[in-house]
Amino acid sequence: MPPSPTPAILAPRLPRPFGRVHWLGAATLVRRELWRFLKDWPETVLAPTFSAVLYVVVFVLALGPDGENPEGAAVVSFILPGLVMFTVLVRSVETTTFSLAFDRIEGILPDVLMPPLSARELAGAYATAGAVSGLITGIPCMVTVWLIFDLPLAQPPVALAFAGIGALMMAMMGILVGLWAYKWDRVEAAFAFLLVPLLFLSGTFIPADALPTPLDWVARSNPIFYVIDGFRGAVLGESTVPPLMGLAIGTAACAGLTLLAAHLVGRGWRLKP
Amino acid sequence: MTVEMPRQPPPLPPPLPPPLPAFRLARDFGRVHWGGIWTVFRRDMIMFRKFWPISLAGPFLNVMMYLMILSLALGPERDTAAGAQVIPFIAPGLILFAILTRAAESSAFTLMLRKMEGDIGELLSPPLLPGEALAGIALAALTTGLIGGVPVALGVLLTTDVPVANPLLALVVAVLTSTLTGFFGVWIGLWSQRWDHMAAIFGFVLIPVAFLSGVFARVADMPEPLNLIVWASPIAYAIDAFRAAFTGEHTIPVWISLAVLAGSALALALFCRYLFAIGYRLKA
Repeated sequence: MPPSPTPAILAPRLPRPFGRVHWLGAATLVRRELWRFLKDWPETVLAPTFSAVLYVVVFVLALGPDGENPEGAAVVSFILPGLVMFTVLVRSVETTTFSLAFDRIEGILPDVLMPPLSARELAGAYATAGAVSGLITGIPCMVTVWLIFDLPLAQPPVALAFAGIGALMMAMMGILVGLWAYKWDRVEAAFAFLLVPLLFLSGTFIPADALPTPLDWVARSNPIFYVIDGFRGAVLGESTVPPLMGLAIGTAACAGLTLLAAHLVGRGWRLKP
Repeated sequence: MTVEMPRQPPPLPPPLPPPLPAFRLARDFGRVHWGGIWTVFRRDMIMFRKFWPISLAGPFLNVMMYLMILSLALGPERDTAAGAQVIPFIAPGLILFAILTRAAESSAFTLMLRKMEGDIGELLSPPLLPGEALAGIALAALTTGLIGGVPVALGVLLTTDVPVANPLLALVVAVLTSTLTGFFGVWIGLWSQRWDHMAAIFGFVLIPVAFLSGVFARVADMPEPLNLIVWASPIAYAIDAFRAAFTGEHTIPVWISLAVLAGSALALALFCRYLFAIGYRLKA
């Protein structure tokens, strides 16, 4: 009796026929996520710009007569770049969180888990789509603010670098939140109790030096502070932290979050039963 | 020859239909279905309690954050004459803002959830008149608005030194305002056909209108067209009267504000009752 052939399932794993990195698969996932985001452009692109303008109007109105003098003008021009960055960051984290949470709650996650994509490719594709969606949302916001208030925009490439790093960081954060939150209440809770306080305590509206003592430490140990500060520095021409240091801290935080997200996706934490 | 056929018994007359009642039967639970109203109310209150991190703690955190940011960015820390007056001016408006958004969210959310999950029939099939179902929902909105306002008011009043000149007036204004926005929430819940519609009305209509209605700045100090447009929204009168209850400062006489609030709440209530009665976006 001839030896039966080895069942295919026991054969050694074939090298991935599409190369070490499945670029086409990752690009497809990015495209799907971006299309999901762009499909709802009135809420995803326009609404954040509208809210940012509303915040500015509120500040200008609350300043009242002080808005005319140089000190009041300094408050407004301090807030504007922070708000643009705030919009970018919020959109990035929302995109990845909502995609993951929605897919799991609707039970369509296998669409993403079945294709031959590795954990790093999955996390990378989700984060790329999140970061790009944040940057896209930032464009109308930046343009509106720039047209109305005549900001200097000292170093556009540096500003773009900080926006990109910040958006990628928040998109990774969104993957973590999306994995953690298996119900919509949990998504809401993560935003209300973790992300929004983190974003508000990061020098969007107030210089970190002006915060009272325990809070300024929170702000200083918050990586979001460094990307917002760096972006503001690139727009206005002066930052609290040197830009290179800010960039380094932002990149380090981003790398740490990336490793964590890739590890959790690889383990299938709350993704696979 | 004729055969005498046995005579057929005459056919029985058809049975008489039971006599129609001359008038509609009285609803056996009385003229107003109090039990039904109470049940609709209690159902919404259970939902409010179940979602307390979002419905109670979320707005509280939000308002405290606004207060902190405004006081650090614009307020006393800046050591200017205008800066010192910012917080007493803004604090009452923020409390009322929390109350009115909470009330609107409550009624809009309960109607939307029922519509989206397909159990709106639970509200339409019981023997409730449109006005009774509406009353239950609006009462729940009013109550959740007021309950949601308690931690916000405590937090704001304990961290700032805002005087409370007239607590009774504050309560009356809070009740009228949350009734008004509770009915507005009913309209949002009826009109929206998807969750995004509801979010859009909140994001593009209710919150901007509330923000610009004098929460953060004196209406008189606003630029030219805005300071007149603002008075078209009843929320501006609500905030003006509510501030009068705290600091005593107001632009419009308080009784006019109260009349505007009560009148617009009544008008919205009648409008919503009409929409309920015709089943606007409720019945196929």
